[in-house]
Amino acid sequence: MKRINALWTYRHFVLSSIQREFQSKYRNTLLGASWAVINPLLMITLYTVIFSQVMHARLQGTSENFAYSIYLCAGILSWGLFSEITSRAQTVFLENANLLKKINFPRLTLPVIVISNAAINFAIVFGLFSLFLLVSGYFPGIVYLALAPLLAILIAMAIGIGITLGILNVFFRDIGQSFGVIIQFWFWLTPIVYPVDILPPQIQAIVNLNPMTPLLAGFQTTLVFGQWPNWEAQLYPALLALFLCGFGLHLFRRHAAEMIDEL
Amino acid sequence: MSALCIDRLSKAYRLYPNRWARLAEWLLPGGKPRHELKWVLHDISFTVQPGEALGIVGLNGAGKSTLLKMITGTTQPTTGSITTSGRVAALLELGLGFHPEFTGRQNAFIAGQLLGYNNEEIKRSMAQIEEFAQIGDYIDQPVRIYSSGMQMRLAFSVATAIRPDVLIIDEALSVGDAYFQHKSFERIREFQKLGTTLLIVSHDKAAILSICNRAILLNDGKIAMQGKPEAVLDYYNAIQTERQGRQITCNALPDGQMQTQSGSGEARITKISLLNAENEPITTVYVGQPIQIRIVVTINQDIDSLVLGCGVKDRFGQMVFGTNTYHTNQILCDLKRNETCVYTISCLANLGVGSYSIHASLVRSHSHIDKNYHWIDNASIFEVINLDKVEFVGTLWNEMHFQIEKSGMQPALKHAEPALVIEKQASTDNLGEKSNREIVIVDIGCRWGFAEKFTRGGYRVYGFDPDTEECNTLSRRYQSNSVSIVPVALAEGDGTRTLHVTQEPACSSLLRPDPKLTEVYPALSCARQVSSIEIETTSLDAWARRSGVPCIDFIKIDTQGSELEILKGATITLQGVRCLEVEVEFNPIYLDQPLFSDVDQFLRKAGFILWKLTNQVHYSKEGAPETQIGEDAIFYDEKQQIKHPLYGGQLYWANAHYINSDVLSTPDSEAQQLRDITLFTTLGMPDVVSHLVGVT
Repeated sequence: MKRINALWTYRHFVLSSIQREFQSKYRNTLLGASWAVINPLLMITLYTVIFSQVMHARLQGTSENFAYSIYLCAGILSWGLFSEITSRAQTVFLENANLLKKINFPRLTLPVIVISNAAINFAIVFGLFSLFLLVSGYFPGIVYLALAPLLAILIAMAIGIGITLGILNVFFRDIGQSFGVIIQFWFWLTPIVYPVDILPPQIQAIVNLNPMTPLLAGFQTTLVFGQWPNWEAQLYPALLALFLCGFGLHLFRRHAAEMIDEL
Repeated sequence: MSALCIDRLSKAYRLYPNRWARLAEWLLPGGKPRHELKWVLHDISFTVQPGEALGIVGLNGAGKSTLLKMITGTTQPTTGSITTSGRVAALLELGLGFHPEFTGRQNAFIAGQLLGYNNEEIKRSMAQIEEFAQIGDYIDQPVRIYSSGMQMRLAFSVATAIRPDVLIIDEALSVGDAYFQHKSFERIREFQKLGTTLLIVSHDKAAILSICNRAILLNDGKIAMQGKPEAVLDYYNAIQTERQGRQITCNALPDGQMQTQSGSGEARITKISLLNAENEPITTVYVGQPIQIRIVVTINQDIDSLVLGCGVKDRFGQMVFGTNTYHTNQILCDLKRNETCVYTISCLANLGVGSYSIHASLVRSHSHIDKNYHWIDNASIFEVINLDKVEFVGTLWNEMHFQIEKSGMQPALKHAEPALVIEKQASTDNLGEKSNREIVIVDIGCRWGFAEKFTRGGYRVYGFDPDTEECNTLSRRYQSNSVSIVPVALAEGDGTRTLHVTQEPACSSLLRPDPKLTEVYPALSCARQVSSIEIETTSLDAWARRSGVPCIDFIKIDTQGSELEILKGATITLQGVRCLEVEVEFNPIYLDQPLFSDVDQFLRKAGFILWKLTNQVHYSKEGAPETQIGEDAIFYDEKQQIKHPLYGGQLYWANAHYINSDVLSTPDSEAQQLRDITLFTTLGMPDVVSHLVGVT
């Protein structure tokens, strides 16, 4: 509770840090903040137009033109949010070492800023994607609301992993070194680019152990097929996310003081 | 309540033999610690009061920064506790968190938020931040084009925009140019005056000496010394030069100053004396006097080279002037054991009024780092007084000539004529010659004796008390022609009155003590009546006529309620009185007693004006006050405000000081003016004196 209070006291700092990070990305560019829209727009165009019209990639079981493109976007965009939060959070304490050592402020503001920034980026790109769905007539309708709980689980899992790694990274820099490779592996081990049913059944069983598989499947089901996701399958990632958040906080409480000494 | 309380604070860093050891400690069951603790601070305890400034000095690695970080709250102590009250702000690294691409204003906002200010506070302070930082239009330019000085100024302005309760300053005082440094010092001082506690870590000795009330020397993570900044810095100096573990001693001199000595001892200073031009030892020096410092040095071992350094330090330990025989090309070479050298240094004591000390050191060459034979700080302490110079401030005497040109109708004045003023000031020392007659002091209710200042030459003192026994005691104490004790009770006129004798004889009065009062205020039990006697009274006018005392310059009345009667019986005498000190009551202690308002009205009609109230006495039901209930302030000239704590209780009495309104107008004669100057100087009212000196 004390920590929440401290966060609230520093809300202005959090807000302007988010603003500042966003602005600093586009400082000294001619187009300014429009890049925040242009980049994802180009990306979505790439996935949709190129894959559906140029490469004629098709998703098994549907004859829709854009089905694979939407499948790809649903996976990649939500994975993007996940990987942005984890990769930023695992370096956040190291990057702000100077600040942490010299100024007494609630340290939990830092992960909050990370989440918020990633969420803004995601909102822009996902907003454009949703617009595309609306325009092209693929908007899933009321099922769209299912995305909210899915996103909550995804963010919780990302920050749980991110904080844990962020703290460990202060003590064991191997984390930072290996993180880039591991997240690549993880990406390819998750059915994002390919549908899960192209895998042999034994491998499918293994892939299903990956908590991101049911979670991203939820996004894909919702957006591609316009169906409610399989809620039971979300239980596993949800509980894991909760556990990871708890573990991260526990680690933080236990090692925060030592962390400052180590920085 | 203290602003900062540090209790048995220790800090250790964990030291692992390798990185795997930490992983093993974390993961392997059993929880066996695999680290060693490296203690950087041991058992540090101190408290700092609000408004106090504490300097922390120590060699690099002594643990100063760790200590500050723990107080700031970024680092956690291993054992012990830190209690702070109020907001703690730290000027540890200015400009931290500034982003080069953003404007000064945006950065000021972020830096402020990082310090925990809310947006409203920052918006309110923004104008003041801009003004203080003095970076003009640059405030809306990106910080990357700022000079480093501008960045620092902005950062300092933000960090100090809102007064914290505890301000931690780590080497941040040397910000910007000399002018800005001055300004930042001012601001810090102002904070201190308003109750901010300061913690200063600096290698700048001048800064510590000029700001801190107290200093702590950290050495190897322990408090090596704590006390007055001068003493601590002297000791620190000694440590710096004596890192090979030679002996350092620290002696308390009789006046409470600390003397630090160190050195390897091949040559020793055996005697330091301060002499006047006639070779007589002195301890008091007047401004501009030619003085000699004589230093006797004994050689204990053959040495190849000897340099004597000598200087004068002010009471803050700052060197006022000093040099050594290396700079004057007087190095002594090849000295043999048991030789003795006598150095005599002559100079003029062009020093300001105050206390100074002599510093002397014996070294091998020009600096004490090379080889330090003997080093003494605070060797000999002397006072400088001003005998014949105009009044001046500062630690240095320098003749100043004012040339004043006035434009307007009158021809320009070439010289303000200071001659008269100087003569008058000088005359306070040899009064009696020009002021023609002695100054007459009357003390009514003189139990317990007179102030020392009136029993010196130049005054004629009459003391009145109705208690004959007390009068006999006083007569024996003052066996002087200039003091007379008169065992007479004064009132408005001749007659017989009842003296109500109280538990404490000093509270006895011609009026009856209010019996109910002592029940309410236990502390007023001194005024409980125990008996009564009949006594003869007379008036001051009648006494003066009979005794042939034509003129009284100062009257002090402390008579428990009968002050108005006495004054009414002194209407003739009062015409010549220059100053009065009357104990007045604001709430009655005696039945039907006249109060301050009555006395005040009467004295105003008699041509007196109230100058000040002192010694305000409060009574509370609980007896002595225990808890402060608030703060009150005295304002001077609307600009200066001095706060003082306020305790409970009801105001009962005070001393009212009145001066004759004639004193402030043009004096009748020069003799009268000189008497006034002398009298008010003695009374400790220099503000009135400056009035008088101004009236020429």
